[in-house]
Amino acid sequence: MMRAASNKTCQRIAAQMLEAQDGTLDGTEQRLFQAHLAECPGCSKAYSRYVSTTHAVAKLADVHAPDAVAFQVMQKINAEKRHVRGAFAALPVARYMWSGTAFAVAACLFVLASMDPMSQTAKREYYGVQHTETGIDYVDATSLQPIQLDMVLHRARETDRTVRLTPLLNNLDSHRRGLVEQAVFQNLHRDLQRYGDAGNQVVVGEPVYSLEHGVSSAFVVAVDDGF
Amino acid sequence: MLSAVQMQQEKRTSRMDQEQTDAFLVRRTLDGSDDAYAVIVRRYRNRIYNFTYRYFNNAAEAEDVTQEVFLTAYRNLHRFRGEAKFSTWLYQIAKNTSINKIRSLKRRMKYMWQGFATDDDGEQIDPISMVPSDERGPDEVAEGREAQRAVQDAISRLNPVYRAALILRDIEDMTYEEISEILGLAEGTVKSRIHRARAELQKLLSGYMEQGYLP
Repeated sequence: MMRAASNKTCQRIAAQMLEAQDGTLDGTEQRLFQAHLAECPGCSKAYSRYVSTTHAVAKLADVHAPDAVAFQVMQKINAEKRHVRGAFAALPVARYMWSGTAFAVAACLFVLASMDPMSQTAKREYYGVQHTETGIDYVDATSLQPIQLDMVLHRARETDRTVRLTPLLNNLDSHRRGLVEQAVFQNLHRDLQRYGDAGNQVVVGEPVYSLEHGVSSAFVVAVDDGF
Repeated sequence: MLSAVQMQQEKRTSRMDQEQTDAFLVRRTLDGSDDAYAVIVRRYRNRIYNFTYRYFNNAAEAEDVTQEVFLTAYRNLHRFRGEAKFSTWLYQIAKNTSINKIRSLKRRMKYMWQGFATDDDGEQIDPISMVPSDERGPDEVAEGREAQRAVQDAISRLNPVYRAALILRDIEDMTYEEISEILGLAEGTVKSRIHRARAELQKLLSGYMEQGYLP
C-alpha cells in the first residue's frame, strides 16, 4: 500500500519537474515538491539529472550559418525572378485567355522536389522544360502538352509520389482572385479527370500569389514527394 | 571567405540591417526591394540555421533547409499579415520545411533501406538518425567538447515531434507562447512535449552522466 502511494507521489513529482524548474509551481506545490525530494533519493536524483539535461542542452554553442547562405538565397531569388520574367514575356496573352475570365494563363512551372538521383535525371527528360540551378524547372504554357502532364503523373505513379498542382495567381484584386481561383480549379479538375486512377495521386494545392510584378497568372505544377 | 560581390552586398545592406524593423523590411520587399529582403536573410540566417542544425545534426542538411526556408518565406511574404512576430512566422516555415524534409528523407530511405529501416522491435527508424552526422560539427571545431557532441546526437535521436519543441525552448530560449504559435499547439501540449523530450534525452544521456561527462 505504502509502495503504491509512494509510486503515485513519485509520478506526480516527475510530472511537475518542468514547472518546478520554471519556478511556476505555486507555494504549496513547491513546498510539497521540495519535501518529497528531501525524502526520496530516487526523485532527487531524477530531478537533478532533469535539470542537468536541460542545462546541457542550453549550453550547446550557437552555430552560425556559412557566410555564403544569404548570398546564395538572394542569387536563387534573382534566378527565379529572371526565369519567370523571361517565360512570361514570351507569351502571347491572347492565347491563354479562358472564356468567361479576364486573366491569362501565362506559364507553367514544374517543381521536381524529389531527392533521388533517378528523378534528377528525369527532370531533364521533360519536353520543353527549362532546367534551372534553383531546382525549379519552368515550362512555357505553349509547350505544356497533355503528354507532359501525363509524364508527370506517370513519374509520380512509378515512384509512388504525390503530385501537387498549385495555381500561381498574380496581380489580382480580391474580387478577381475569387473568380480566377474558381475557374482555375474547375479547369484543373476537369483536365485531371482525364487521367483516371492517377487522379488519386494528385492534390490541388492552395493558390500562391506571386510577388512578381508584371506577371498575370500561371500554373505551378509541383511534383512533391509526399505529404 | 566572401567574394567581392558578396562584400558589396553586405556593405550595401549593413546600415539598413541595424536600423530597420522587420515590418518595414517586409513592406520594402513587397514593394520590390531585394536589398530589404537581403537584410532579413542576414538578420535571421543564424537563428534559422541554428534551429535546423540542431534539428538535423548535419551541416549540409541544415544549410539546404535554411536556404529553402528563406526562399519559401520570400515566395509567401504577401501572406505575412503581421499578426505574429516575423521571427515566429519564419520559424513556422522552418518547422514545416524541416518536417517536409524528414518525410522526403523517409521516402528516400524507403528505397535505399527497404527491409532494413526497422529497429530490433520492428519499429520504423527515424530517417534523421540514419543521416550521417558531421564528423566534427561546428561545436567540436569551436570548443572540442565531447559532451556537446553527445547532447547533439541525443537530440537528433528524439522523436521529431518532441525535438522541435525542445530546441525552441532550451536552445532558442523561446517562451511557451511563442512555441505554441510556431508549432500550432496549445501551451499545455507544448509543455508536455518539452517535458517528454527532456525525459527521453535524460535516458539517452544517462551513460554519459554515469561516467561523469555531464554534470
